[in-house]
Amino acid sequence: MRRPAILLALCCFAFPAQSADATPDATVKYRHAVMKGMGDHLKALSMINKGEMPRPQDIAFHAAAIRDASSIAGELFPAGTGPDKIKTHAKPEVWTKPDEFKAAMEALRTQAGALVDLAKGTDTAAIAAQFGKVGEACGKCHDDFRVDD
Amino acid sequence: MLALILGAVAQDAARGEVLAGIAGCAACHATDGIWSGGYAIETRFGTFRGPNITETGFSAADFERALREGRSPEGRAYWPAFPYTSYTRLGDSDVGDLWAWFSTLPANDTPDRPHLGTPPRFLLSMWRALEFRPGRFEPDPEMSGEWNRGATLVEGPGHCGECHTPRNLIGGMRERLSLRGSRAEPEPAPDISAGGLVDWSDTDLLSFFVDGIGPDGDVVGGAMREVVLKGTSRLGEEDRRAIVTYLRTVE
Repeated sequence: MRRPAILLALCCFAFPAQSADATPDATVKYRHAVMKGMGDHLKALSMINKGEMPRPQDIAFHAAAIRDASSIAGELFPAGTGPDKIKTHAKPEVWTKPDEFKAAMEALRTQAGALVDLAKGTDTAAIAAQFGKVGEACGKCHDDFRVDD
Repeated sequence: MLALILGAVAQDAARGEVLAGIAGCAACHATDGIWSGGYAIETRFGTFRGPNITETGFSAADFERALREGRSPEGRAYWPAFPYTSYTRLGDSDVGDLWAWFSTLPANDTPDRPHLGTPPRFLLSMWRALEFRPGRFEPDPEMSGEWNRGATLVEGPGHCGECHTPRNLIGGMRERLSLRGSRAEPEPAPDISAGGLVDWSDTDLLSFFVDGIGPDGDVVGGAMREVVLKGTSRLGEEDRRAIVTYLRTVE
Protein backbone atom coordinates (compact mmCIF):
# COMPACT_ATOMS: atom_id res chain seq x y z
CA MET A 1 0.00 0.00 0.00
CA ARG A 2 2.88 2.38 0.66
CA ARG A 3 4.51 1.77 -2.68
CA PRO A 4 2.44 4.17 -4.84
CA ALA A 5 3.08 6.95 -2.38
CA ILE A 6 6.82 6.34 -2.49
CA LEU A 7 6.76 6.29 -6.28
CA LEU A 8 4.86 9.53 -6.29
CA ALA A 9 7.39 11.09 -3.97
CA LEU A 10 10.23 9.88 -6.18
CA CYS A 11 8.58 11.38 -9.22
CA CYS A 12 8.46 14.73 -7.51
CA PHE A 13 12.21 14.57 -7.05
CA ALA A 14 12.80 13.34 -10.54
CA PHE A 15 10.95 16.29 -12.14
CA PRO A 16 11.45 19.17 -9.76
CA ALA A 17 10.87 21.77 -12.46
CA GLN A 18 7.23 20.80 -12.58
CA SER A 19 6.56 21.87 -9.07
CA ALA A 20 8.89 24.87 -8.71
CA ASP A 21 8.74 28.05 -10.83
CA ALA A 22 11.60 28.65 -13.23
CA THR A 23 13.75 31.70 -12.63
CA PRO A 24 13.18 34.59 -15.06
CA ASP A 25 16.72 34.02 -16.38
CA ALA A 26 16.01 30.41 -17.16
CA THR A 27 12.65 31.26 -18.72
CA VAL A 28 14.21 33.82 -21.04
CA LYS A 29 17.03 31.44 -21.99
CA TYR A 30 14.56 28.64 -22.59
CA ARG A 31 12.15 30.67 -24.67
CA HIS A 32 15.08 31.95 -26.69
CA ALA A 33 16.04 28.35 -27.39
CA VAL A 34 12.48 27.50 -28.40
CA MET A 35 12.23 30.54 -30.70
CA LYS A 36 15.64 29.78 -32.17
CA GLY A 37 14.52 26.23 -32.79
CA MET A 38 11.52 27.50 -34.72
CA GLY A 39 13.84 29.70 -36.73
CA ASP A 40 16.06 26.76 -37.59
CA HIS A 41 13.09 24.77 -38.85
CA LEU A 42 11.95 27.76 -40.88
CA LYS A 43 15.40 28.10 -42.39
CA ALA A 44 15.34 24.40 -43.28
CA LEU A 45 11.95 24.91 -44.94
CA SER A 46 13.29 27.89 -46.83
CA MET A 47 16.18 25.78 -48.21
CA ILE A 48 13.76 23.09 -49.31
CA ASN A 49 11.41 25.68 -50.77
CA LYS A 50 14.19 27.19 -52.86
CA GLY A 51 15.32 23.80 -54.08
CA GLU A 52 18.73 24.16 -52.46
CA MET A 53 17.89 21.05 -50.47
CA PRO A 54 15.69 18.63 -52.40
CA ARG A 55 13.98 17.00 -49.41
CA PRO A 56 10.27 17.76 -49.77
CA GLN A 57 9.59 14.68 -47.64
CA ASP A 58 10.85 16.71 -44.63
CA ILE A 59 8.42 19.61 -45.00
CA ALA A 60 5.72 18.10 -42.79
CA PHE A 61 8.25 17.42 -40.04
CA HIS A 62 9.60 20.99 -39.98
CA ALA A 63 6.13 22.50 -40.22
CA ALA A 64 4.86 20.32 -37.37
CA ALA A 65 7.86 21.32 -35.25
CA ILE A 66 7.05 25.00 -35.79
CA ARG A 67 3.36 24.41 -35.09
CA ASP A 68 4.10 22.63 -31.80
CA ALA A 69 6.84 25.03 -30.75
CA SER A 70 4.48 27.96 -31.23
CA SER A 71 2.11 26.45 -28.67
CA ILE A 72 4.95 26.12 -26.20
CA ALA A 73 6.35 29.56 -26.96
CA GLY A 74 3.03 31.18 -26.14
CA GLU A 75 3.37 29.92 -22.57
CA LEU A 76 6.88 31.25 -22.06
CA PHE A 77 6.14 34.92 -21.47
CA PRO A 78 5.06 35.02 -17.81
CA ALA A 79 4.93 38.27 -15.83
CA GLY A 80 8.38 39.34 -14.68
CA THR A 81 10.18 38.33 -17.88
CA GLY A 82 9.63 41.57 -19.80
CA PRO A 83 12.14 44.28 -20.73
CA ASP A 84 11.36 46.23 -17.55
CA LYS A 85 12.74 43.33 -15.50
CA ILE A 86 15.30 41.52 -17.61
CA LYS A 87 17.32 41.78 -20.82
CA THR A 88 15.04 40.58 -23.60
CA HIS A 89 14.11 41.56 -27.13
CA ALA A 90 10.46 41.04 -26.31
CA LYS A 91 8.54 44.34 -26.42
CA PRO A 92 6.36 45.46 -23.49
CA GLU A 93 3.38 44.94 -25.83
CA VAL A 94 3.63 41.20 -25.18
CA TRP A 95 2.34 41.96 -21.70
CA THR A 96 0.25 45.06 -22.38
CA LYS A 97 -1.60 43.51 -25.34
CA PRO A 98 -1.79 39.87 -24.28
CA ASP A 99 -4.80 39.07 -26.45
CA GLU A 100 -3.13 40.35 -29.60
CA PHE A 101 0.06 38.51 -28.73
CA LYS A 102 -1.87 35.31 -28.17
CA ALA A 103 -3.63 35.79 -31.50
CA ALA A 104 -0.30 36.31 -33.28
CA MET A 105 1.06 33.05 -31.86
CA GLU A 106 -2.19 31.31 -32.72
CA ALA A 107 -1.90 32.63 -36.30
CA LEU A 108 1.52 31.00 -36.60
CA ARG A 109 0.15 27.76 -35.19
CA THR A 110 -2.68 27.80 -37.73
CA GLN A 111 -0.44 28.60 -40.70
CA ALA A 112 2.16 26.00 -39.75
CA GLY A 113 -0.62 23.46 -39.21
CA ALA A 114 -1.98 24.19 -42.68
CA LEU A 115 1.50 23.56 -44.08
CA VAL A 116 1.65 20.20 -42.32
CA ASP A 117 -1.61 19.24 -44.03
CA LEU A 118 -0.55 20.50 -47.46
CA ALA A 119 2.80 18.72 -47.20
CA LYS A 120 0.95 15.40 -47.22
CA GLY A 121 -0.19 16.19 -50.77
CA THR A 122 1.69 17.07 -53.93
CA ASP A 123 0.49 20.58 -54.72
CA THR A 124 3.92 22.22 -54.73
CA ALA A 125 2.56 25.66 -55.62
CA ALA A 126 0.20 25.57 -52.65
CA ILE A 127 3.00 24.33 -50.40
CA ALA A 128 5.30 27.15 -51.50
CA ALA A 129 2.53 29.72 -50.95
CA GLN A 130 1.76 28.30 -47.52
CA PHE A 131 5.46 28.43 -46.61
CA GLY A 132 5.29 32.14 -47.39
CA LYS A 133 2.35 32.50 -45.01
CA VAL A 134 4.27 30.80 -42.20
CA GLY A 135 7.16 33.23 -42.71
CA GLU A 136 4.69 36.10 -42.77
CA ALA A 137 3.19 35.01 -39.45
CA CYS A 138 6.68 34.97 -37.89
CA GLY A 139 7.53 38.38 -39.30
CA LYS A 140 4.23 39.96 -38.35
CA CYS A 141 4.68 38.95 -34.73
CA HIS A 142 8.32 40.09 -34.68
CA ASP A 143 7.12 43.39 -36.09
CA ASP A 144 4.71 44.02 -33.26
CA PHE A 145 6.24 42.20 -30.34
CA ARG A 146 10.02 42.06 -30.78
CA VAL A 147 12.79 44.62 -31.00
CA ASP A 148 15.05 43.82 -33.94
CA ASP A 149 18.70 44.68 -33.91
CA MET B 1 22.33 72.33 -60.96
CA LEU B 2 19.27 70.63 -62.32
CA ALA B 3 19.85 68.53 -65.34
CA LEU B 4 16.34 68.81 -66.73
CA ILE B 5 16.94 65.51 -68.37
CA LEU B 6 13.51 64.12 -67.89
CA GLY B 7 12.29 64.76 -71.39
CA ALA B 8 15.33 63.14 -72.90
CA VAL B 9 15.27 59.89 -70.94
CA ALA B 10 12.91 57.05 -71.67
CA GLN B 11 10.59 56.77 -68.70
CA ASP B 12 9.38 53.50 -67.37
CA ALA B 13 6.61 53.70 -64.79
CA ALA B 14 6.91 50.00 -63.96
CA ARG B 15 10.59 50.41 -63.16
CA GLY B 16 9.66 53.55 -61.24
CA GLU B 17 7.28 51.57 -59.10
CA VAL B 18 10.03 49.09 -58.28
CA LEU B 19 12.37 51.94 -57.35
CA ALA B 20 9.64 53.60 -55.29
CA GLY B 21 9.40 50.27 -53.47
CA ILE B 22 13.00 50.28 -52.29
CA ALA B 23 12.83 54.03 -51.78
CA GLY B 24 10.07 53.26 -49.29
CA CYS B 25 7.85 56.11 -50.52
CA ALA B 26 4.73 54.31 -49.30
CA ALA B 27 6.10 53.96 -45.77
CA CYS B 28 5.49 57.66 -45.10
CA HIS B 29 3.23 58.78 -47.93
CA ALA B 30 0.66 56.00 -47.94
CA THR B 31 -1.51 54.39 -45.31
CA ASP B 32 -3.02 51.00 -46.03
CA GLY B 33 -2.35 51.40 -49.73
CA ILE B 34 -3.96 54.86 -50.01
CA TRP B 35 -1.57 57.66 -50.88
CA SER B 36 -2.91 59.99 -48.22
CA GLY B 37 0.31 60.59 -46.32
CA GLY B 38 0.16 60.91 -42.59
CA TYR B 39 2.73 58.48 -41.27
CA ALA B 40 4.61 60.03 -38.35
CA ILE B 41 8.36 59.58 -37.99
CA GLU B 42 9.20 60.29 -34.39
CA THR B 43 12.73 61.56 -33.89
CA ARG B 44 14.52 63.50 -31.21
CA PHE B 45 14.26 66.47 -33.58
CA GLY B 46 10.50 66.38 -33.73
CA THR B 47 7.65 64.37 -35.22
CA PHE B 48 7.53 64.50 -38.99
CA ARG B 49 4.42 63.52 -40.91
CA GLY B 50 4.61 62.41 -44.50
CA PRO B 51 2.49 64.72 -46.67
CA ASN B 52 -0.04 63.67 -49.29
CA ILE B 53 2.00 63.59 -52.51
CA THR B 54 -0.83 62.99 -54.95
CA GLU B 55 -1.90 66.58 -55.50
CA THR B 56 1.34 68.46 -55.43
CA GLY B 57 0.95 70.00 -58.86
CA PHE B 58 4.64 69.25 -59.34
CA SER B 59 6.22 69.59 -62.74
CA ALA B 60 8.91 67.07 -63.69
CA ALA B 61 11.51 69.67 -62.74
CA ASP B 62 9.83 70.27 -59.36
CA PHE B 63 9.87 66.55 -58.73
CA GLU B 64 13.54 66.26 -59.56
CA ARG B 65 14.37 69.25 -57.41
CA ALA B 66 12.55 67.72 -54.43
CA LEU B 67 14.55 64.52 -54.74
CA ARG B 68 17.92 65.98 -55.65
CA GLU B 69 17.94 69.19 -53.63
CA GLY B 70 15.36 68.58 -50.93
CA ARG B 71 13.47 71.75 -51.82
CA SER B 72 9.85 72.50 -52.61
CA PRO B 73 8.95 74.25 -55.88
CA GLU B 74 8.94 77.52 -53.88
CA GLY B 75 12.50 76.82 -52.77
CA ARG B 76 11.62 75.94 -49.21
CA ALA B 77 13.93 73.31 -47.68
CA TYR B 78 12.42 70.02 -46.61
CA TRP B 79 13.26 68.43 -43.29
CA PRO B 80 15.59 65.50 -43.89
CA ALA B 81 13.12 63.01 -42.42
CA PHE B 82 12.41 62.96 -46.16
CA PRO B 83 15.69 61.24 -47.06
CA TYR B 84 16.76 63.45 -49.95
CA THR B 85 20.22 63.12 -48.43
CA SER B 86 20.16 59.73 -50.20
CA TYR B 87 17.75 60.38 -53.07
CA THR B 88 20.10 63.06 -54.34
CA ARG B 89 22.33 60.15 -55.46
CA LEU B 90 19.65 58.80 -57.84
CA GLY B 91 20.72 58.23 -61.42
CA ASP B 92 19.05 60.32 -64.12
CA SER B 93 17.10 57.41 -65.55
CA ASP B 94 15.96 56.50 -62.02
CA VAL B 95 14.48 59.95 -61.53
CA GLY B 96 12.77 59.69 -64.91
CA ASP B 97 11.28 56.31 -64.04
CA LEU B 98 10.15 57.54 -60.63
CA TRP B 99 8.50 60.55 -62.25
CA ALA B 100 6.64 58.29 -64.65
CA TRP B 101 5.40 56.24 -61.69
CA PHE B 102 4.64 59.31 -59.57
CA SER B 103 2.43 60.68 -62.33
CA THR B 104 0.26 57.55 -62.14
CA LEU B 105 -0.61 57.88 -58.44
CA PRO B 106 -4.37 58.14 -57.95
CA ALA B 107 -5.32 61.52 -56.52
CA ASN B 108 -6.40 61.75 -52.93
CA ASP B 109 -7.57 64.88 -51.17
CA THR B 110 -6.51 64.07 -47.61
CA PRO B 111 -5.06 67.27 -46.10
CA ASP B 112 -1.49 67.24 -44.79
CA ARG B 113 -0.98 67.05 -41.08
CA PRO B 114 1.63 69.39 -39.63
CA HIS B 115 4.98 68.32 -38.21
CA LEU B 116 5.28 68.69 -34.45
CA GLY B 117 8.06 70.00 -32.24
CA THR B 118 10.49 70.77 -35.05
CA PRO B 119 13.53 72.97 -34.40
CA PRO B 120 13.55 76.57 -35.72
CA ARG B 121 13.97 76.61 -39.50
CA PHE B 122 17.29 78.48 -39.51
CA LEU B 123 18.80 75.40 -37.88
CA LEU B 124 17.65 73.42 -40.89
CA SER B 125 19.63 75.71 -43.19
CA MET B 126 22.68 75.29 -40.99
CA TRP B 127 22.18 71.56 -40.89
CA ARG B 128 21.95 71.38 -44.66
CA ALA B 129 25.11 73.40 -45.04
CA LEU B 130 26.96 71.03 -42.74
CA GLU B 131 25.45 67.66 -43.53
CA PHE B 132 23.80 67.62 -46.95
CA ARG B 133 26.02 66.90 -49.92
CA PRO B 134 23.82 67.09 -52.99
CA GLY B 135 24.87 65.34 -56.16
CA ARG B 136 24.04 62.25 -58.14
CA PHE B 137 25.99 59.05 -57.77
CA GLU B 138 28.95 59.17 -60.11
CA PRO B 139 29.77 55.72 -61.50
CA ASP B 140 33.29 54.51 -60.80
CA PRO B 141 34.83 53.52 -64.15
CA GLU B 142 37.32 51.26 -62.36
CA MET B 143 34.50 49.07 -61.07
CA SER B 144 32.16 46.73 -62.92
CA GLY B 145 28.76 47.72 -64.24
CA GLU B 146 27.20 45.43 -61.68
CA TRP B 147 29.04 47.10 -58.80
CA ASN B 148 28.01 50.53 -60.01
CA ARG B 149 24.40 49.44 -60.32
CA GLY B 150 24.51 48.09 -56.76
CA ALA B 151 26.13 51.24 -55.45
CA THR B 152 23.47 53.43 -57.06
CA LEU B 153 20.68 51.30 -55.61
CA VAL B 154 22.16 51.24 -52.10
CA GLU B 155 23.22 54.88 -51.92
CA GLY B 156 20.29 56.36 -53.86
CA PRO B 157 16.77 54.90 -53.83
CA GLY B 158 17.61 52.17 -51.32
CA HIS B 159 18.73 54.86 -48.83
CA CYS B 160 20.23 52.05 -46.74
CA GLY B 161 22.56 54.41 -44.91
CA GLU B 162 19.66 56.36 -43.43
CA CYS B 163 19.31 53.55 -40.89
CA HIS B 164 22.52 51.54 -41.22
CA THR B 165 25.00 54.42 -41.00
CA PRO B 166 25.60 55.83 -37.53
CA ARG B 167 24.66 59.47 -37.06
CA ASN B 168 26.51 62.29 -35.34
CA LEU B 169 25.13 64.50 -32.60
CA ILE B 170 23.16 66.68 -34.97
CA GLY B 171 21.77 63.71 -36.84
CA GLY B 172 24.04 63.76 -39.88
CA MET B 173 25.28 60.49 -41.35
CA ARG B 174 28.89 59.74 -40.44
CA GLU B 175 30.21 59.02 -43.90
CA ARG B 176 33.44 57.44 -42.73
CA LEU B 177 31.35 54.80 -40.97
CA SER B 178 29.03 54.30 -43.91
CA LEU B 179 26.73 51.27 -43.44
CA ARG B 180 28.61 50.16 -40.34
CA GLY B 181 25.46 49.88 -38.24
CA SER B 182 23.64 52.23 -35.93
CA ARG B 183 22.36 51.91 -32.39
CA ALA B 184 19.83 54.69 -32.89
CA GLU B 185 16.50 54.13 -31.19
CA PRO B 186 13.83 53.09 -31.85
CA GLU B 187 15.19 51.05 -34.74
CA PRO B 188 18.82 50.05 -34.33
CA ALA B 189 20.25 48.65 -37.57
CA PRO B 190 23.13 46.19 -37.98
CA ASP B 191 26.47 46.61 -39.71
CA ILE B 192 25.97 45.76 -43.39
CA SER B 193 29.45 46.70 -44.58
CA ALA B 194 31.67 43.86 -45.80
CA GLY B 195 32.88 43.25 -42.25
CA GLY B 196 29.38 43.02 -40.83
CA LEU B 197 28.29 40.49 -43.43
CA VAL B 198 31.13 37.95 -43.08
CA ASP B 199 28.75 35.34 -41.69
CA TRP B 200 26.32 35.82 -44.59
CA SER B 201 27.01 34.01 -47.86
CA ASP B 202 25.84 35.54 -51.13
CA THR B 203 23.03 32.99 -51.15
CA ASP B 204 22.05 34.01 -47.62
CA LEU B 205 21.80 37.66 -48.65
CA LEU B 206 19.96 37.01 -51.90
CA SER B 207 17.55 34.77 -50.09
CA PHE B 208 17.03 37.28 -47.25
CA PHE B 209 16.17 39.97 -49.79
CA VAL B 210 13.39 37.72 -51.08
CA ASP B 211 11.81 36.19 -47.98
CA GLY B 212 13.28 38.10 -45.04
CA ILE B 213 14.68 34.94 -43.49
CA GLY B 214 18.27 35.22 -42.31
CA PRO B 215 20.91 32.46 -42.32
CA ASP B 216 19.96 31.50 -38.76
CA GLY B 217 16.28 31.18 -39.67
CA ASP B 218 15.37 34.44 -38.03
CA VAL B 219 12.53 36.28 -39.74
CA VAL B 220 13.07 40.00 -39.95
CA GLY B 221 10.62 42.38 -38.28
CA GLY B 222 10.44 46.14 -37.90
CA ALA B 223 11.29 48.59 -40.65
CA MET B 224 13.48 46.11 -42.51
CA ARG B 225 10.50 43.83 -42.94
CA GLU B 226 8.83 46.59 -44.96
CA VAL B 227 12.04 47.06 -46.92
CA VAL B 228 12.06 43.38 -47.87
CA LEU B 229 8.33 43.03 -48.54
CA LYS B 230 7.88 46.21 -50.55
CA GLY B 231 11.43 46.77 -51.75
CA THR B 232 14.13 44.17 -52.23
CA SER B 233 11.74 41.27 -52.91
CA ARG B 234 10.28 43.19 -55.86
CA LEU B 235 13.61 43.98 -57.43
CA GLY B 236 14.93 41.78 -60.20
CA GLU B 237 17.49 39.12 -59.28
CA GLU B 238 20.16 41.11 -61.13
CA ASP B 239 19.52 44.14 -58.95
CA ARG B 240 19.74 42.03 -55.81
CA ARG B 241 23.03 40.55 -56.99
CA ALA B 242 24.33 44.03 -57.75
CA ILE B 243 23.49 45.13 -54.20
CA VAL B 244 25.36 42.16 -52.75
CA THR B 245 28.36 42.85 -55.00
CA TYR B 246 28.47 46.43 -53.79
CA LEU B 247 27.96 45.69 -50.08
CA ARG B 248 30.87 43.21 -50.19
CA THR B 249 33.20 46.09 -51.02
CA VAL B 250 32.01 48.58 -48.39
CA GLU B 251 34.76 48.80 -45.78
